[in-house]
Amino acid sequence: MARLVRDGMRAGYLLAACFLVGVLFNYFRGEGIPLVATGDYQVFVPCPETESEAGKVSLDEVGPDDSISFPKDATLVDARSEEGYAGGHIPGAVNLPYDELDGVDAEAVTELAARVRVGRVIVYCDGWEEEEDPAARYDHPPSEYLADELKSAGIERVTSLTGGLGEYVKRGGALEVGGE
Amino acid sequence: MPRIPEYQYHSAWRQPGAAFRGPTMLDKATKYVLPPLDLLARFYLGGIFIYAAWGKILDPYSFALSIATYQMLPTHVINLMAMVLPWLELVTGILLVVGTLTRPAVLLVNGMMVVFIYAIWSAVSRGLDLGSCGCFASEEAAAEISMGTVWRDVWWLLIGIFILLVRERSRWGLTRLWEWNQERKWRAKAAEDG
Repeated sequence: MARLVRDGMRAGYLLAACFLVGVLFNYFRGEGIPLVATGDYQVFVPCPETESEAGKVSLDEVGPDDSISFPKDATLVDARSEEGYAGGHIPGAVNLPYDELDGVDAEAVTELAARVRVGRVIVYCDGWEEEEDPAARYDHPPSEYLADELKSAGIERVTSLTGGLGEYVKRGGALEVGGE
Repeated sequence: MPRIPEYQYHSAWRQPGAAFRGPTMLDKATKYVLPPLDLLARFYLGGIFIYAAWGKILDPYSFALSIATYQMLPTHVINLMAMVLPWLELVTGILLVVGTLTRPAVLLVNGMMVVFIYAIWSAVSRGLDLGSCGCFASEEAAAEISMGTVWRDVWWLLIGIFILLVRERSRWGLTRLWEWNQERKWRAKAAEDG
């Protein structure tokens, strides 16, 4: 027992020495961290993987260049924020905002899935390409993530629009302004 | 320094006051089996701790973030822990490998293992998706956190307890080397004095 107490005390000295070395080393090194964190750590957890992956579709496949006409049975889904949607969207599109952190409203997804069980769904967003916007928060356009979510929710024929709204406007597509 | 007779090293196994009738099988096992096993265990556990410490010392911010991800400590303690813990791991790891101050070092190692096991178990039971446990800096060694991680740490704790228990009877290491040298000097001096 006496030996254990002696070893325990030595362990305490070791702990104190390491404490001193650690703090001093951090103080004298170039890229040390502050002794006390100034703000909360932004703890990110990986997003859950979607079960299935939706395909992509380009405007060429949807309709001819000069007249952009989406199939009649297609439901267009705008993955942008409510403000973006109100600022201008493809006529007839419904808004289902997709956020990187919050994901998508599960109830709205279920509702949409029930509504378009057999129909086709085309999801679009602003439509940037990775090389155009390296600082973008997403690895892929949000429409692709939302399309994956919808596919996982049971909608069979769901695709993401390549180029998104940017490409649509570039080709002279008409926009509808205002909320739902 | 008087030389300790061979049998006294192993007398812990015998009943107090029992007559000494030569080394038993247990004495022989203690003498020939435990020291290499202890050495192996020390190299294994010490190596793991040195390896784990290195990446954390190089990148304290990432380690602080790993600690924060567990959501167990108040923010103002996290940085201090990220500064001190890697050095504690490094020093105890080195002490285990070289075999000096082994018992204090292994006491600290076991204490750390208990804390790690509780932290990982708590994260797993809370369903925190941490990705990796933050035990090692390198991507290859960063195993995804699960109950398997807890059992791995329990295994390392058992090795630590083994080292703590056998250390009395297995003295291979720097301390023993130093003692052996002292003994050699003492014997040489005794021979000179006649």
